[in-house]
Amino acid sequence: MLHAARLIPVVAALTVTSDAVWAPQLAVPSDAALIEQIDDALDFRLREDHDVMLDAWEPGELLNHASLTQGLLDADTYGLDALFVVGDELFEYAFRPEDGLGNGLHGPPPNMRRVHAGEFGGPDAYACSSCHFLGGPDGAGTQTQNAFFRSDGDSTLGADERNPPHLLGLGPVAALAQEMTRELQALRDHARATGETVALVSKGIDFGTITGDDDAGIVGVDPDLVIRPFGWKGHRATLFGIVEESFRIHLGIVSTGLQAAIRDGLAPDAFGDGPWHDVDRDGVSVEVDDAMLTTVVAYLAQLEVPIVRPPQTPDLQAAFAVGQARFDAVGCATCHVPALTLYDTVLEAGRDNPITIDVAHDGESPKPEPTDASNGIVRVRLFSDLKRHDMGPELATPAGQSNIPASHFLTRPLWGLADTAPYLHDGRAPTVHDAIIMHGGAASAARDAYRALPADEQGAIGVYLLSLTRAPAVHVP
Amino acid sequence: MKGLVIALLVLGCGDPPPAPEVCAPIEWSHPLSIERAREEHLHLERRRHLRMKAALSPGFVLDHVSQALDANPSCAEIGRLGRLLFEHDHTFADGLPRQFRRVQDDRGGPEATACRSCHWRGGPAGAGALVDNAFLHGDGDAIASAEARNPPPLLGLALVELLGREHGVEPFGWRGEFATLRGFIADSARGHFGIEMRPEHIEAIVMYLARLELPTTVLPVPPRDLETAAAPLPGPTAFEYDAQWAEGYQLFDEVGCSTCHTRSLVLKSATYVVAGRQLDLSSQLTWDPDQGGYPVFVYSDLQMHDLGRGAYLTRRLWGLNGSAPYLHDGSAPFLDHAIAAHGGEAAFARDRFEALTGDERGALRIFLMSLRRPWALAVP
Repeated sequence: MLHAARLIPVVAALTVTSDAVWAPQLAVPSDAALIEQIDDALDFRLREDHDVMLDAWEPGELLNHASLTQGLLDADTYGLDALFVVGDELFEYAFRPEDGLGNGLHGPPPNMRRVHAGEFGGPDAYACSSCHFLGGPDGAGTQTQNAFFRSDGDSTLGADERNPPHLLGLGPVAALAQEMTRELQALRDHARATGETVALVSKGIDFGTITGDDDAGIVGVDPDLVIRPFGWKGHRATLFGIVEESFRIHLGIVSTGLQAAIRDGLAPDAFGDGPWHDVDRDGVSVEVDDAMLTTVVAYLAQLEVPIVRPPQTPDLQAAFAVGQARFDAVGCATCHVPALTLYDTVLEAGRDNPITIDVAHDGESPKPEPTDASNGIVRVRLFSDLKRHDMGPELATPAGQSNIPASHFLTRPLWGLADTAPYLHDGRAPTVHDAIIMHGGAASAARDAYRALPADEQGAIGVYLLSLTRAPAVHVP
Repeated sequence: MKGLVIALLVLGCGDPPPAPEVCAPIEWSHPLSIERAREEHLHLERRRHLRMKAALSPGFVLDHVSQALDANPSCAEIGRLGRLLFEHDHTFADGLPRQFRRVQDDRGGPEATACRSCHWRGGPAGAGALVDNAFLHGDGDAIASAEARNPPPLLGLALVELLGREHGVEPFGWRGEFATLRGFIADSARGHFGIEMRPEHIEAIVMYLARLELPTTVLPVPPRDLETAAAPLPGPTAFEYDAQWAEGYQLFDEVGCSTCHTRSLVLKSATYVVAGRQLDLSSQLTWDPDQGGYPVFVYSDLQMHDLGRGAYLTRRLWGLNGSAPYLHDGSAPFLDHAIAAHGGEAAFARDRFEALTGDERGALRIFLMSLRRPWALAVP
């Protein structure tokens, strides 16, 4: 049984009162919904505590429990429910030097480093959950959880800062990207086969044109037309890729897949000067294998999606309606497209031996809502076009990232925004208003239109955006 | 009393200090009850409501709280307002400086916008992860130039302040730099947010922290009726820890941990004055006539000790479960690493721990992990 009780709370009868003082009659789930939430939270906590105690008695027990082998995955022994449970444990688990945390390159492991050095990374954290907690499990990070990328291992000012985004709804995002990539590549194949000029449009998003083999007209996506929805600049195409990278740079845990690539001369030797089977010289050879990474991917892909939760008092409800209208009118919705339609909800995740996840059904609720068509098609309200845009010099990072220019970013999905302050890639904006007026480049016109609004209408857009949130539920932290 | 006050006024001795109003006894809903779940949902709604109001009217939250505090609210309400402040993301309109600085220099950061940025693990007002370390007294840039400090959980601090006063120590900060909670909060807001916090707001936050449930000792419960979380994973085994816990409890003394991590300190008066009110903190304590006071199970002597790499105030171990990573700089992800790093005056205890058998070490860890805050529902 998964945490099925994290359903959208049933809203109790509302008694709206004057807003002069906060009205305690605001929406609270019904007792039945609360009981379900409590049962669920307690059940989860008891199991977690059981593992923590076992591990205190016999260190290593917890990680043993949370390790599934590739062989068993291949044989399809574990269902998605089991992968979710185990992936959740791995997400919470604080890794130790004995597990391969960190490296032995500058003295005894783990050699943690808050600021990253080049592509090597930190490592700067013990657990995934260290930086993803705000607003609840798998949430965002605050200013203090910012990662300091690609510096010299010490200087914060020389680093390329990134604020941790929340991780809800990644399954539908990955599935959208997979589908858009297929559509764009089919258009490309048509252009190549016919020599024609083809408009690269997927889900109504314009990615320029392609003429025969000439890809000079492509915009907002790499020339290979692979939509890369992960990372603030959109540098990773798959959940597996971003999870594998995060384990390496944040935890210093090198995957067996990467080891094999190093052995075969396919990966840069920037990851340490040890032999291929212990490149980071920490004495641990098998740090994380594909099965464990796949388990984390299966967990993330099954998480709930954020919802739109309008305010409860008349004045804020009026502001919400104005804000929703102005969000479109000002031009925010041009890039922060409120919803994309997903036709194929089956996501393939994993490296060589993919598992399949139906992102519209498997795992935690809420899920993306079905369209009227009742044929499995869903609407993903992520508020992004999954396209890269030039955001101008003010927002630019200190340098480009792989082939992505310094001023280019993926349109950040805004769903779940309420619990993700501070905003923008480096968390420089404490409020939604600050974030909007810091937009530049391709968003300059929309920003100017926002600035031209009267203050109460600017605020209304803020109210609207702060209603993009996760469904509230109790936990036992 | 009233008569005395009037008499003093009549005699013209000047205005006597007003006797602090006495708070109603603290009443908690059961931490795992529907009432608590409802309270938590309401609190979330309230925070969300204020945040939206602030979108329309920048600076709204702090002014709203000040007004609410002016209206002579109950002590419970002051605590709730304090929690809103604790969780409030400060903005430019609230006075947040424009430039963040992750490594502090002599002027501080700011590197955070809210208390809860760094105090969240294990529940509200909890500890911080390794990434939450503050970097104090540095050059504003290089990690190596600064002192790393891992955020500790903020539980039982009003009692700690009272203990400090009675025992003549300054119990706050890893090196014991502060005598009072309000002093520590003012300094934290200045250093971490670059904000001079309003005095009434500091009092409200102190009230919030003072009213939190105390950490306690909870024996691990074997999960008898739990089925597998998802087949084909095995279900939890019903493992009895009672014997291990009892052994660990004794080993804590025998190894020498309790030499500095003194199980309890005696508090004579549990009356705490905050926000101009008198708050009775004795409801979670038990009077011991033999000791002439309330034993408070802090697991610290609140004294400074040389640990080999510098002198530190003995860390309070109550609430330890859920506060990882350990040590002042968060360098220990697990208990064994923390114990192994003890040197100086604690070297003998470390050596004895490492000489224990595997089962004995396991028993001691089981005991340590039973020091925890009570499970409580929270809506994040």
